[in-house]
Amino acid sequence: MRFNTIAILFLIFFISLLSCKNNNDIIPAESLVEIDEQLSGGNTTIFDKTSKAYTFPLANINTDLLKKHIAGDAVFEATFVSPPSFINAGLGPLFNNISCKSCHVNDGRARPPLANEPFNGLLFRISSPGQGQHGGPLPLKGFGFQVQTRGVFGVQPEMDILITYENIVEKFNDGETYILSKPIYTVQNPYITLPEGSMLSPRIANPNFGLGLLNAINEKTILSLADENDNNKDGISGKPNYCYDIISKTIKLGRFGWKASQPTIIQQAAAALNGDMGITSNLFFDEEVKDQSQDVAPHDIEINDEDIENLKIYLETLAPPARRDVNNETVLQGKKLFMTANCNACHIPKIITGLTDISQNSNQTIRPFTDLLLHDMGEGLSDGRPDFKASGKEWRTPPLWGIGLTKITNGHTNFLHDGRARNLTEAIMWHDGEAKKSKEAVKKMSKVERNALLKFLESL
Amino acid sequence: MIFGEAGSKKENDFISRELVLLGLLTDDLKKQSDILYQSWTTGTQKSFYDNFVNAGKAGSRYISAKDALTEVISSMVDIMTELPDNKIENPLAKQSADYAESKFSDYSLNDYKNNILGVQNVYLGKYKNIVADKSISAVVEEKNPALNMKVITQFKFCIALIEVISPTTFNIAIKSKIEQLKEIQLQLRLLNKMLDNEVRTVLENL
Repeated sequence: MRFNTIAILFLIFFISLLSCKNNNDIIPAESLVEIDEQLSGGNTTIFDKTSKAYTFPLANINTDLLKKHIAGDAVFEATFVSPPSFINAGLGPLFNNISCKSCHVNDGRARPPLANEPFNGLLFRISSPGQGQHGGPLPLKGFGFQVQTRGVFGVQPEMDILITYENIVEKFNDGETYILSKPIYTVQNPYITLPEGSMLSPRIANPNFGLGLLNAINEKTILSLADENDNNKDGISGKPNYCYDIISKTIKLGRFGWKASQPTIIQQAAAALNGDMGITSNLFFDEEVKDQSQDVAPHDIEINDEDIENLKIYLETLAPPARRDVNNETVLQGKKLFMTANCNACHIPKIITGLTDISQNSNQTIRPFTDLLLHDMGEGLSDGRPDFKASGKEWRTPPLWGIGLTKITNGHTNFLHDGRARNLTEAIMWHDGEAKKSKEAVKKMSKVERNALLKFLESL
Repeated sequence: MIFGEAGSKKENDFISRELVLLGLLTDDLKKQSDILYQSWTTGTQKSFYDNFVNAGKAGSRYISAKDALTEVISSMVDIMTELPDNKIENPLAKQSADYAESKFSDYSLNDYKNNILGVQNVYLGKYKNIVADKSISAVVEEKNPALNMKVITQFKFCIALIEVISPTTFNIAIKSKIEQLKEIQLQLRLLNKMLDNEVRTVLENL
């Protein structure tokens, strides 16, 4: 009897192993409190829940790396000005903002502008239908890849954009109503007529912390989570994006950005400097406005390699904040509901990082709540604009770590790629496509259950 | 733009475009000041004051009074990190006044002294000549009087180190008083450690 019991237990254990993702780096999360669950970033985790919670260097950073982190922070906070200037010259001729921190306030996430507010932290990608070089977007003639709504003195911006909202009233199964606010974007004052078929995609500035840890996840691990053809018939596919790496000049797995269309942190940073501020570098040496009538500035390198490298290191060494209230009973109930609604199918709770050049980020058990893959989120969230392998409906699963601190760090609770969701409830209820079943599960929850789910998310 | 190189600019040196820009900057400065004033006024839509004094109550961004206090200490640490590591370090390391905060007015040392005084006043609960009964200093005094004395002494020491450099201005001191500036950085970092480690621990254990 004892032997049969052991055999049965072994069989159950073996079957449970098979039912997990076939990768040692993915650990199924239990519904009870786990050891060190509060350590969102493993040994890199920072224990702070103030407005500065996203701004600290890795907890395990050493002196030498801290010096580079501080140097990179100076670049991140630098205010760029139009040339010529002794310091920080290079802004423009067209731009969206004047410094990294202007959009990524407290290294956090931006929100859409209110009426009569300038655009700080919301920008628009733009392109023509079809594929451009290396399979990426095709630049829109006269506008490039991104809309710049500001220009230096004497230079006309590309356009203004007016945002209005259409409210969609829906109900949970228990009868409580909620409102989804759908943004409508209207182009105003384009400097030239907008070509036919132009595609606009709004993009909110994302939080910067934890990027080094996401970068340290093995490619094999990410790909093990993919199921592009939904072979396991669970309704969730998960597709990697592949994009062009300008340093290696090869196609690589994308990890960063709303559509995972940037392969590395340095490329993400250099592209942002170039597209958002008009700062040229050895990685992006053409102004975004090249060949447009606003292309009036001399073409020289405006940020040196050392500053780019330090900026990269800064972004790689920003720590995730610790979770809060992991033992709270309601939070634990919410965690269970998160699993039963299958949110964890895409928002993977726990991953072990691999080896990376920043050793502090290596071999860490992290809790990012993302698989870094693309998922079809339905027509309602579609921007209609392909980005390498990503269709208009497909978006990278955004990490949820730190999300509960958004209010305190950035003074708002706007989520999703364009900030349309004004709180976590709306963010959930905008889910569709592959996530429709999860949304429906939440819709069926009682008020008490929904509150528990929210309390769990707010503990992240 | 206002002072010119070495504070030499005269009224007739301003060109019309500069005057337009200065006017726009003044308007924006007023707008930002109004926003700041509103945020410290009770009852306004974006009143940070209300968030702070109602910490722990419904509607406040702070779940508890302790969270609000932690925010205060974090902000103090933020300033006291930036001062030695960026504001003094960048011009000193690059040996160029181009990186000084108030290069053209050459008022940087006064700015840095005021940064320290501002943080000290928050610690002491001091506004002009009024010292509040309730303050971080009072809390620390109750829990650890030796620590409170150590922090207050260190604040005074850092301010004195800056005052001693006068009348030499910062633009000149980065070349002629390097060791003194490095000593200021060292002492500021020590003060920062006291605030970030020891004082923070006292507040978190309330």
